Amino acid sequence: MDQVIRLNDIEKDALKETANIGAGNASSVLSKIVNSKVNIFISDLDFVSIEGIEQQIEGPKKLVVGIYTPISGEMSGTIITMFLKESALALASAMQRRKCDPSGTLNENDQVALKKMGNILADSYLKSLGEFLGMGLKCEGSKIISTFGESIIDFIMLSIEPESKQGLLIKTGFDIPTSDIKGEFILLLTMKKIDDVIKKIKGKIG
Amino acid sequence: MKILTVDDSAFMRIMIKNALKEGNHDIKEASNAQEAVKAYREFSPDLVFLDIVLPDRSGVDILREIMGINSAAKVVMCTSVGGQQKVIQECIQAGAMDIITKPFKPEDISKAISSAQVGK
Repeated sequence: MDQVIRLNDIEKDALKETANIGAGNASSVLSKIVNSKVNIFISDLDFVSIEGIEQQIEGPKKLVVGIYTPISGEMSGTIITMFLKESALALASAMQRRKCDPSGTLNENDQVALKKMGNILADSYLKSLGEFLGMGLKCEGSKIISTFGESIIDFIMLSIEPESKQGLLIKTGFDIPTSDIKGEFILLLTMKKIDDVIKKIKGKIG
Repeated sequence: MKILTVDDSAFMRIMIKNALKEGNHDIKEASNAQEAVKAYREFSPDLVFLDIVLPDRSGVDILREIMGINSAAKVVMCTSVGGQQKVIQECIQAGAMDIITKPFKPEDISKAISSAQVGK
């Protein structure tokens, strides 16, 4: 059974800003990978029921590619770097210095490239988050999924404790204006260790 | 010193205020572009901490507007994307005194204050 967590506006704001710090650092790494400026946008935060998560993720009816990285250590959850399929193809092509076929499919090399990138981005996201909150965080091996947005729920559910019905979802959009690539960093925290995260945040507010 | 902090995040404004606690500074806050420019004109701060990602306009645009009001303005850009070379170049070209990357330490804020005082 999930505990009920109520956050005031400042605490919500602090969590969003914390995710923004993670996303900002990940986007700096992405900027080096693609040698181009990466913009990030203001984060959104919500407590979501497991059944409702797919509605929170862009493109429930569109083909998406998600690089999904479980978090271990003092936080429990996952980081998903998510792209619409066209953006994923463009990014994989840019990483391999070849021309993109927007109507193509992700081949094995593309998947390896994106998985590697997802792992690097999740690592940099978590590193800054851990440093900011003073928490020991690690990312496990990334997995890649290519599916309709609404099916991604199956993969997210793998990271949730079976008894949990709620998660805290924080999304930060980004784009690479020079190549029309758009995506989202999604931090999904499960309820298991969320109290510890909130305690750390409260400590920062003073 | 008169200091203006511009960030849409109340949490981040608190963090900066906490870091400035010791200095007996006169601090004003703004949470968006419109408030920031208005506060700059009315308050004439000695130093501005300006977030790059704001809801209504980019922080770099606001920096350019502030530099248009006062070409000697001292503005420190605060960002979580400070690791991007292109962002750094853009801010420096627009007239930023410095850039601090979130999560910043209180020492980063103190260093910015010292630099602003030296240039006064």
